[in-house]
Amino acid sequence: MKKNTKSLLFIILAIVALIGALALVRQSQETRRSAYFAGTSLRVGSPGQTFLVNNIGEDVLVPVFIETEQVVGTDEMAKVDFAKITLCYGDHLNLVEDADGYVDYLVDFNHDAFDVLLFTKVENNCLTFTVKSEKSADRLKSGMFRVATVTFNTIAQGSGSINIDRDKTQVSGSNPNLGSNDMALSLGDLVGVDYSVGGGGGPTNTPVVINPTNTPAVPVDVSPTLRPTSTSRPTSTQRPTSTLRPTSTSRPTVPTSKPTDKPVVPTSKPTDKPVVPTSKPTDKPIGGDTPILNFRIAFAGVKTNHAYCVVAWPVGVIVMKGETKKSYADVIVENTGEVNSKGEIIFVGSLELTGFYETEGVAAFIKGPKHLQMKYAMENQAGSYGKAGGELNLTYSSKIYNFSEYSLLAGDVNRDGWINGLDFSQVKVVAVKYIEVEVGGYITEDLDGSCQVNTADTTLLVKSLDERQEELY
Amino acid sequence: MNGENKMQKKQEWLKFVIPVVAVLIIAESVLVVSGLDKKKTVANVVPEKKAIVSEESDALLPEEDALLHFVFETDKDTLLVGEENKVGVSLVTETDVSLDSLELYVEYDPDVFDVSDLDYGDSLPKPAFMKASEDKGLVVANFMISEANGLPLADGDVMKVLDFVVTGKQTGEYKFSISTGGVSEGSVTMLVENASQGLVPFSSDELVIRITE
Repeated sequence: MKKNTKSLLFIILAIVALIGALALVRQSQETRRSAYFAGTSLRVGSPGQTFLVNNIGEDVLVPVFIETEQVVGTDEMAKVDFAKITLCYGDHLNLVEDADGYVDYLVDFNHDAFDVLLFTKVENNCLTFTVKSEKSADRLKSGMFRVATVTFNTIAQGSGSINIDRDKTQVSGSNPNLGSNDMALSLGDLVGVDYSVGGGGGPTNTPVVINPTNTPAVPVDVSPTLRPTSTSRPTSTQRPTSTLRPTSTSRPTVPTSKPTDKPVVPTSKPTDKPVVPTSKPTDKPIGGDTPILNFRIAFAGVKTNHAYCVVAWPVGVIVMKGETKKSYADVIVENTGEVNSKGEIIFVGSLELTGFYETEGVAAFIKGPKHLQMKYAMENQAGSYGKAGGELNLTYSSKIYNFSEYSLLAGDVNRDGWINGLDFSQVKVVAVKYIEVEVGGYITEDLDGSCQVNTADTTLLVKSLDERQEELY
Repeated sequence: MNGENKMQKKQEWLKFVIPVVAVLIIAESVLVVSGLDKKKTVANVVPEKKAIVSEESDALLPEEDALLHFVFETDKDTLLVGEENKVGVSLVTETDVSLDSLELYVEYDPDVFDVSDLDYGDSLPKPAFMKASEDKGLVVANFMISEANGLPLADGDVMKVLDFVVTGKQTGEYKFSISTGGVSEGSVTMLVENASQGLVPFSSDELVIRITE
């Protein structure tokens, strides 16, 4: 009897242990199913940016960025393959539907990061758009990158904010942990942007700078501690998955020169990427006895739709007349938001020519950080000058020489003064790995400033080589 | 009595089997749980990050050590004034090598020869630039190889790089040669290796053509 009792107790104990073990296994799986594999944050516009629009009717190009965090337990940044984002804005802005009632054409998504704009919808002053990537995991974007740029139209005077609706925003990606089915990225900070629409009167109007404490036009919860309760990925789409964009647009796609239209190239750069050459602020013309060279230039291949890593590219300037020559290093040029006839962004630089006293018949030689040195010797020069000397007449005022149609040729990445096979090989070895950097970063071989080195850069180099050889031979 | 024994035996058998099965299931559960952890570890290790390797260009070795050679080819080395003849330039390799670029500059005297009808070898991609410059007295052909592994050449290969038609303009003996510097050192013939992104040493010969009346 005693023996039977012992056996019975042992059996009961074993069964309890079995049930406990099964319960533990089930609990583990359930926890994993609802987990995020990494975090992410979203931002509208650049840090500290306020969109200032002078006139009603003008467009505002508003970029939306994602920044992913490191995947727990790995040294990899999370990669994004899907984003559904809802932007809410004030009554001063509008998104004009096309003839078919869609606003797809106003959402210029980042084609390097995503392949398809699945869905757009405007409701109650909120735009929801969904983008999806069909790229393989190794081609997906990580770190900070642009999701899309939305073109709003201003319809009323006033100020407000464009914010991200946390409850209607979802981001997911490729989990490097092959043993996990978790695809969702948790939402951390969602940072909106302020805007101010002036009452007309042209560019002389003083724009209203928004007080950060102003109540946003559409209040949203930006507390990073709140988490959405659902992590499921949307299964239905209301639009075809075609990557074709509407061909007809009634809105300008080229930014104007107004300061409010310059958000396509963020002005900030990450502090952990100290690779941009040492630079100093652009000297501003102050008049007096020192001649000033104000100039507009373009970097070959640097265009508005991808130049998110063209931040504070310094140029070297040499001014010369006869035997007299003076060099100036690390002159910073600023994005004007305008483009030349090739669609390349025009930058403006201003240099007080300290120590140089010639004012007539001057030639200027300008070299970019990965560009050939180009000779500029006449106003509105659009090609090689092709002879000795120069025709620039420097002033002490604000005359600006326009050299933007004769772009700085890109490709001298080893800075030996030539574009040749050594430069090509250096760019190619990086391009085949699709090395990239976050928005605002710097890679020497990234010739078009797209934040990624790829075949576009090798192609640009070959094009530059061809152009220079045509000039030489 | 027999029935009782059977029953007793059956009970004792069950008393043995049930705990054993329970222990086996527990052990399997433990293995499954620990297996999940192992799977996770492996998944985290697999996607390695590749470092960007940046190597400085190799210094040019003395030509006698070169294993690549540019050679001229022609049917005739004596031409009449006004007579046309085809001249070719080939690359002979004595080693296995893969090239990222091939930039060829051939010097000639534009007062003596007209150069025309440039054509490049079938093994090469479309040149980034190709031209006979009468102003500079140079035949230029720049090839950039886009393929990740470059243009592979094997020991013993003879690859046609370029050919062109020359026409003699005045009598005398004149030469074609591979340029290793000129136009302020921009016209430098160079071969860049895929593996090292450095320069590959080469040697070259000259082609002397005699022009007669």
